[in-house]
Amino acid sequence: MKSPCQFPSVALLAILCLSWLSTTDRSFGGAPFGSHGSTPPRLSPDYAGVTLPPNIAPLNFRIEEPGIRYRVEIHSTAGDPIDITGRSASIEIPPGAWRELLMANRGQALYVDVSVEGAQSGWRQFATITNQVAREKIDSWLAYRLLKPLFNTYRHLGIYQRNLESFEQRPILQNDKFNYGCLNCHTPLNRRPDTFCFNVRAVSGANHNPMMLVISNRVIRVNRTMGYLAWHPSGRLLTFSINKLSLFYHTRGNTRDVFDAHSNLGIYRVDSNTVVFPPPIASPDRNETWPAWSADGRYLYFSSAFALPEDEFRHVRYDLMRVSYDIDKDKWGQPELLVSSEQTGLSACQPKLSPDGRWLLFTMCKYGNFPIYRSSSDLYVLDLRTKKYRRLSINSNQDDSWHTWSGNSRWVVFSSKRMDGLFARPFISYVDAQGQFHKPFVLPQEDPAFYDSYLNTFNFPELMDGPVTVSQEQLANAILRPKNVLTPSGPARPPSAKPYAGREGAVDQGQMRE
Amino acid sequence: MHPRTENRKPEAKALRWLAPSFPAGAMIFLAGFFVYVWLRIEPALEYQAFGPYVLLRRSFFDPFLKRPGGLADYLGAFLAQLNLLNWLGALVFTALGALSFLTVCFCLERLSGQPRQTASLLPLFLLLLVRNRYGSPALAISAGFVLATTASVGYLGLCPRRHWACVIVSGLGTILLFYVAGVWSSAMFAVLAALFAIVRWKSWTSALCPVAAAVAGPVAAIWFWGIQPTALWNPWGENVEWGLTAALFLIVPLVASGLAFGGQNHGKAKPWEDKIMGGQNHASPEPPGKSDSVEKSKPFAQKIPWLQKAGFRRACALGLILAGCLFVWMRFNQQRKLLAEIDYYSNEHDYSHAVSAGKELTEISPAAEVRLHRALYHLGRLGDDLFEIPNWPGEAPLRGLDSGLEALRVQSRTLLELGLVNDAEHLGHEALEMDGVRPDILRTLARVNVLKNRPRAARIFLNVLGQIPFHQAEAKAALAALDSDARLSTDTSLALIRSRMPTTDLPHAGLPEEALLQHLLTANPHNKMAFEYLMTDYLLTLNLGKAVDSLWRLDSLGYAGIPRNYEEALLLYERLKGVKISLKGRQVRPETIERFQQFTEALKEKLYETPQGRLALQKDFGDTYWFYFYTARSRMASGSTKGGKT
Repeated sequence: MKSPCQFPSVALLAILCLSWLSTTDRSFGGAPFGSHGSTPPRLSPDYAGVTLPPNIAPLNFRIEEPGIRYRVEIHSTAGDPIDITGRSASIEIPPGAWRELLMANRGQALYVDVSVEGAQSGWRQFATITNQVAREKIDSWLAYRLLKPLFNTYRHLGIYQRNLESFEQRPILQNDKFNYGCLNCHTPLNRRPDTFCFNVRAVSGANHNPMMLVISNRVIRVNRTMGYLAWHPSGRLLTFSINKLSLFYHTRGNTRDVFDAHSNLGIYRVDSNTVVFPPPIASPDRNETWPAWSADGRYLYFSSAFALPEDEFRHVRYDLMRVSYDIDKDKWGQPELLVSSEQTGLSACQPKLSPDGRWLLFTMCKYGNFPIYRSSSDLYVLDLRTKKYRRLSINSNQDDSWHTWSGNSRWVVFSSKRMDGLFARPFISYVDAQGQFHKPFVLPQEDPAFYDSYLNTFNFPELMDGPVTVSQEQLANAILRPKNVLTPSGPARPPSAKPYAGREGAVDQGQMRE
Repeated sequence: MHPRTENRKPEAKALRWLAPSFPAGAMIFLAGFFVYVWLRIEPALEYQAFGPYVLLRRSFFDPFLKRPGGLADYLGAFLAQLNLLNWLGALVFTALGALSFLTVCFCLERLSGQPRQTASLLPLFLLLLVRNRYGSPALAISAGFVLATTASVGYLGLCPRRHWACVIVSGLGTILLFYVAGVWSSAMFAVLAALFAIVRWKSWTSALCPVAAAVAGPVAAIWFWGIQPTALWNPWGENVEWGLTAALFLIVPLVASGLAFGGQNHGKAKPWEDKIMGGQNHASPEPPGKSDSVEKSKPFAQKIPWLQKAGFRRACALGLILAGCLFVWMRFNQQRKLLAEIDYYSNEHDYSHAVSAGKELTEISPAAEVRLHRALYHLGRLGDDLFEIPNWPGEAPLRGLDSGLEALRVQSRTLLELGLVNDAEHLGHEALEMDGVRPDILRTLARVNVLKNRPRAARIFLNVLGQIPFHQAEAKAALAALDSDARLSTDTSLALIRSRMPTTDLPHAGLPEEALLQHLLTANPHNKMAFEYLMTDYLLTLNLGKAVDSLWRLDSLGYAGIPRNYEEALLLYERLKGVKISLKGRQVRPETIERFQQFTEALKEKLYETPQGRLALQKDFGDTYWFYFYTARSRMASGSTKGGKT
């Protein structure tokens, strides 16, 4: 039997529904549809006008427009659009729908329509944001070191890997696993996750600062201190730098600085466990550093500068050089100048070759060889066909450096402090066939506000085509209780080099941070 | 009566803990406990000086889930946020103490068959002893302890009747407790569960299950998850008195074992057996003729009747409690409290209280010294009363990394006030890495970034500040201020720092005090703070000549007279060098001259060369530069740089 008061209740509910519907647009749950505004919405992070890999995780963002309700429609030519409506300005895109939409629209435009309902003003639709979905995927994993933007001392740091197709982040190795030592310069061979190397510092054993080698997931401790590392694409040898670095500080401008008193490059023959210092890359009167091999393994690229006393640090500028090498004959050519610091008035560092052999990406800054400490650092690209270089339009007025190429040469990831001037964050940029670098976007995070309160800096990003599977415990055991130990034969330094005598303020390369 | 009904009576009695009769004595003790923590320990001092600080975000919580004992540590850290207010912090700790008392009381009663209130107070004394040492994670330790005792209560009170089920529950409970509260808590629970198994079923094999689980947990953690053994045994860090913590977790199992195996009911059916078995004690009555042998086997205490008298036992209990209270009072670490007070009052800008605490210190830390110098500067007494506080002999007032990590946090603030924004940023980040996220570091780094025209970076630090409980409003206000003016132009303290900032670059390694302070004075000759720190540097490093040479700046900085310590340095310099310094119209006060004459008379007797003589000198001249000069020089000559009263 029906209650006598049921009818008035139903009537009241109906009246309320009708009044609500009369005050809102019925399409898309009340948001306006069809009439687009002329101004784009403010989004944080800035994900407008960017080119996306089809396999990237959802670009979650926050709408920085005042309102009480928010609506976002993401759509393209194919696939189901994604519709998100709610009271929160934080837009978290469903990963499954996002993945399907991007995969269905490779090479197509991706549109983002944003509407915001004001407390008094009703719904307002902003100009449509148009992004582009690239045809080419990006390597699915990114390794980086996470640490505070610190200076001398450290407690917690680690190398992590992030699945770019999701928000999953896993540690490769955290320093609490090996008594809070330092670790740096993780370098995979041809983006392979099972073969890579990295340096550790301040650990026990015959050498306190060994290099750790992982070859096909077999971990080896190499009792030799090395600096910046570069694999020959064959995997048969590693080029390394030995540097005598010292940290110092400024009372104005950038707080930190690094001076490299003396450096050379050496070769570690993995196949024969020997170290050599070939004269073309270990000159007594020049400082060579930042090695990088071409994809075909025929050229070694590096930075080189005349050695100057420390008080002339502002005049230390590095040339970009290369030298040919025949690995089968073990024969070196003569060093060749590619970018002259005398001509540019800048210091060239961190060369990185695209796997297709076409482009050389490097940084230039006013002086020195540690660009992440210099806000003047910018990315440049050298066309290896024409030998001409240019400054990239994707640079900011903050430090842009630490770059890495994807396996298909269509993506670069680099660290930039453009968001706040202090913390380096990883940015992804598309490189088209003509060598144009497209507007970069920051690595997406599940929480759109992630970067607003994240105190770590992303250092040394390296793309990989899969996750590192060797466990932290295996790596830590290989450091602390090694079973496989190699002590390379060969000289500790180039025969003609000055002794690497310690002096006040001197630190080894491992202590260079960010 | 039906046997089932018969069984229920003792069972109901055993579950008295559900509605405990809280004895008046315990209430009084806990009230005293509360007052002691509130007024003597003062949790707010600990909050400022040592933290810990919790961030209300998932990424902060997650790591606690990934290690054994993490949840108890998180609980302890979370509760520590309430230390912000003295009374609230004391209330939380007292509540933990009360819970500890109740649960231990129940456990001991279950295992011995008699109320053991005095023995149940023992952990509370140990908790206070742990808390006496400022900076130890007393709340995390207490949380772990209380979790273990509460789990034990749950187990002893609600254990299944079936033997095998009980054994399984004890094993699983041990493992679960290992994950939640760590190795100590699980071990304590395992021992109590094992005791219970022995008492209830007289089965040593049943006791093995929780013990095996207590061993298996840590072994698995080390073997499979690669957890360092040291991190298991001591998850609380370096600032823990190992012996006390171990005693806290061992005391209940030890007392319980003693009561269970060496109790007063030796040689006959024990009441606890009756109670635990729920009246199912099948021990047959003693056969005739056995009573003599039973009498012989009674413990000594039971043979003396007056030892059994309630009055005597109460008096003993009271005496023990008073002795415990006295012991806790005597073991209070007054020096660490003074250091915490200096930190707290400096942070609150209550500089006179900070200096008062500093005067009582017998030995100074680098951090306290930096704070006291800043406090004296803000009181306008740095040039007058520098030697009324202890100073580290021969050490400069600006301390870099080589002076230890403890001083980084406060040094960063001092450098910021001086105008050395880059160096403040440097040390602020070092402190952030070593001390972790703290409100004062976040504030300093936010201000640094505003001064360096990086408002977005400043916002990041303020956003993190807003995630610390009780700091949301402060962060919100600061963020709103940044929204309206990214330079915070109306902030007078920032304007003052801007006026002091260097105008040119001085590349430097480390923290070369003199060069940096001179650099600041070159940029802004009216930087009074830089001048006073430069003079302090000269005085403390016994650089008399430079101190005297810098006195010309008094005119341009608007000093009415000559600060007393500078007068003292001047007189000493004139005496040592045999010269007369022209002060261009300024005069050393007659009382300083007169005192110096007295000091030189004492010097003629070479009093400073012996410890007794130094004490006599200290009594009369301990607040003068002369005394500091001679004691510091002799200490430096002997190679001792320990920071004592100089």
